[in-house]
Amino acid sequence: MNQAKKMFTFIFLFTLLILIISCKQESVDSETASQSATVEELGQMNRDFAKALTAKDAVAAAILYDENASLLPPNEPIVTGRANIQAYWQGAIDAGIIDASVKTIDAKSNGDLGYEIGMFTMRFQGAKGDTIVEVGKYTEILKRNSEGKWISTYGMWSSNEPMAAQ
Amino acid sequence: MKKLIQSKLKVCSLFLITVILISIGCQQQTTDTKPVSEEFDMQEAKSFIDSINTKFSEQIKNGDSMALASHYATDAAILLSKSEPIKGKDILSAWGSMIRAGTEEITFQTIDLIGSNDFLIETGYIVTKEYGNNITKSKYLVVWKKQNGEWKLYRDMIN
Repeated sequence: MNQAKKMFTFIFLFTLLILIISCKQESVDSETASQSATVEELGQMNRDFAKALTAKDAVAAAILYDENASLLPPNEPIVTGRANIQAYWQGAIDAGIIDASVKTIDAKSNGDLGYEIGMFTMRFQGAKGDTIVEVGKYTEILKRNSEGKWISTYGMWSSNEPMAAQ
Repeated sequence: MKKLIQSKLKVCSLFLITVILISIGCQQQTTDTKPVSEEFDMQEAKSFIDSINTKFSEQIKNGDSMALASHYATDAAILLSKSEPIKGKDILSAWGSMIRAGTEEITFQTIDLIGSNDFLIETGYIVTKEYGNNITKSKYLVVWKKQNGEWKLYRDMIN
């Protein structure tokens, strides 16, 4: 009889505990999903991208994109898929990138979708040993992946002016 | 025996009431943490964007740069290749220049439209026909935002 009472109390407390934990977890998950990302968080993808290009690492650049992301490069067709994006940036590296830097102008998110607008500067090695500087603007469309990291789904950019040699 | 059954029933009732109260409380807490936002209808947004794109095509034909510029948010920018960002009153001038340069026809082909009540992202192709049948196909990526309850172009990137 006593044992049955004990067993009942145990089941009762255990059920309560499970309910409270799952309730707390649901609340945390819901809060995380509804939070807007900061400008700093949304700009991280392109800061990492600039670092990857400066390091001449096309693999590191490509993992910043969604598996089905698209690049919309100037005067070229759309490049879709991470493997093709990696090949595209490898081409840019092979063309003689010296370094790249970015500056966020504006960024916003809603749920798991966000965008970042910014300015970039890229320096290339010219054929005559000179340095070619390209300054431009970009729009990056971002999504928050299952790990909570913002990755690109669309990236588009263009120069502000014809490339100038230094 | 009767007392024992009554006592068991009491305990069971207490248990059930506690579980129900926790569940309701949990449900309420989840609802409270959700952001208060208007209901978003993507189909409605898509129809509106399509109608603006159709208006763009008509207004180009009519050479109406004022109407074209009116689709942009007050803090918008057009981001064209080999050009600094075009902002404010320069947006009107940019459309005026395009018309004077001989742009006769513009058509839009949306590839993708995603977003929510806060902003929309549209990607697509823009086909421009100039005098003398010179046809150019470019890509565009537009960030739309709501201003005074209406969708306006906020960043219009074309290359």
